[in-house]
Amino acid sequence: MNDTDDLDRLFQAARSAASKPSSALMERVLADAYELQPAPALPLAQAARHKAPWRRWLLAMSGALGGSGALAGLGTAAVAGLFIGYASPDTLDWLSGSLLQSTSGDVELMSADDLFLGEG
Amino acid sequence: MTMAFDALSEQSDDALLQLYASGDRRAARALTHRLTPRVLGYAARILGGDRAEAEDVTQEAMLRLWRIAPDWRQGEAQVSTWLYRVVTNLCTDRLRSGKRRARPMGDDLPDAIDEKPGAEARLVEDARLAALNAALASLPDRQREAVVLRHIEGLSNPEIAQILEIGVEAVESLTARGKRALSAALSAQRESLGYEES
Repeated sequence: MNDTDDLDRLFQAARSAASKPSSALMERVLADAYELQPAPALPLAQAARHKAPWRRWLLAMSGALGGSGALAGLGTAAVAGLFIGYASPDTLDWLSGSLLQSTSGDVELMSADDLFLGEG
Repeated sequence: MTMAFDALSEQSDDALLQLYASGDRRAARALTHRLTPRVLGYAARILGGDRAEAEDVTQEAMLRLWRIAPDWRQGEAQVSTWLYRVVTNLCTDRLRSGKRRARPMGDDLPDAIDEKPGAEARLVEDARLAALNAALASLPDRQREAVVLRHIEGLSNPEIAQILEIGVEAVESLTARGKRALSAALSAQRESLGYEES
């Protein structure tokens, strides 16, 4: 046996004789861990209950109007109304298949023939 | 997360830290039970056996781990390597501040003589460990850190280089010089520690 062997055995013994933390230290470390731990992600159903106030209001409105399908229909109608209001009549004719008879053109309020061929 | 505590004990430190950051309280317990003894043992050896101060360092190092958990980037660094570096820096600060209470590790030995079978062998083993700890405490800080990390904590030289923020060759030099100094310090006590003459 030599000094190096002795030292290696001592290192081995030191590895085996691990320091055992006191229960008080373990409790302090765990208390810190819990205190600083981020909150767990909420399940979907639970998350719905924690939505922002404006989203809760939107959900309530949607329910009162007949659900999300009805709300989508209302939205579509509103967009269509806006389009009809802004679109030129020609485009409207194209869209409606000229059913509305809204052709526009130059209207001659006083004919030139009437002016030159008329009496006097 | 409903993973059992036993199953969590098989997870890597990295994976546990991610679970902790996602709010799993069992991961908090698993990490505490796994890492606290290692951190305490290392801190106690670096601080020359001051148990109370080692406990303070341990709590502070673990606190920093909990704080960094949400920002931890998996795979970038090993949790244990990061922790050893934090503990080394905390211990270095305390050693430099000079406010440490000097208390050799042998003070933790029981005063009363144990009469149970094998008690004598245990006392001899305790005396040898106390001599090792005293010899470690006599080393310069960097040598002590390198020797403890290499030969007691069992880390590789590249890992120690990362922790001490030095090159691998410097680690080899520190551990070699540290071991020579320890051998010299302990050889004078061979007989009193019960080692036979070679």
